Amino acid sequence: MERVRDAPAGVRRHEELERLYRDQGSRLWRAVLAFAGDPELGLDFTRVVHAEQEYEWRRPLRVGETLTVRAHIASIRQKAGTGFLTIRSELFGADGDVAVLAWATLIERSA
Amino acid sequence: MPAVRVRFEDLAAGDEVPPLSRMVTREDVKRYADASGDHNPLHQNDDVARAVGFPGIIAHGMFTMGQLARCLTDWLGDAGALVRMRAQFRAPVFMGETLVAGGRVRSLDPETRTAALEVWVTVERAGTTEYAIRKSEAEVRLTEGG
Repeated sequence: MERVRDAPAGVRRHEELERLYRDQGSRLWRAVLAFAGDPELGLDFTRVVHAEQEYEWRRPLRVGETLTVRAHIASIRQKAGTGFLTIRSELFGADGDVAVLAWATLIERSA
Repeated sequence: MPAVRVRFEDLAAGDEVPPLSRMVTREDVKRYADASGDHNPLHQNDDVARAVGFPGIIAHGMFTMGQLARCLTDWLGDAGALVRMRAQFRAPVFMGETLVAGGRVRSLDPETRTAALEVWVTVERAGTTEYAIRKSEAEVRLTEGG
């Protein structure tokens, strides 16, 4: 069973957080999507593509282990009308140590 | 898990990872959407995908990245040996296309028993090779005796 908890910094829709708690199938990507879906960011998903993803695995994850995801915005920049958003996530294992680090870069093309 | 594990001592710069092929089906993409929670209509609804210029739905980049990870861990014989991977998603992948994941050893660090690899995923489309993932890298660490 995996659960995602710990709202990332900043405003996030309450129902989104509730859904994450409820959903036993939650994984890292759900946390990233919930974050990117924050209305304060105002991303238009019809223009968003996943440009880059990086993982650093510090140890293998065990079946049945409960993971905690904490995500924050690592950078937001604009270049020639295109927006770049990088979200850095830490996955904590049952022992409380970081088991996996992940970086997701999303691009929003200009309208 | 394969019986044969890659040994650090047997690796050399330029060595190729055996390529792994897999045809992408709607079923794969549906299951990936359910597993990841990514229900973006571009991955589910042909009309939405056509409206932005694709012939139909596209696979999730992370699904393609998963094939790359599998290619590496099948080769290594030890999933724990894969310690880092960075993928740049450069082209969409359509249903019925065959992903071919591969890689090449770029450099070796005997001190940490780590190999740096260049990795990629290609699809053949209309007679040309498109890179779904390119200019990407992975790091594998092979422990003593492994």
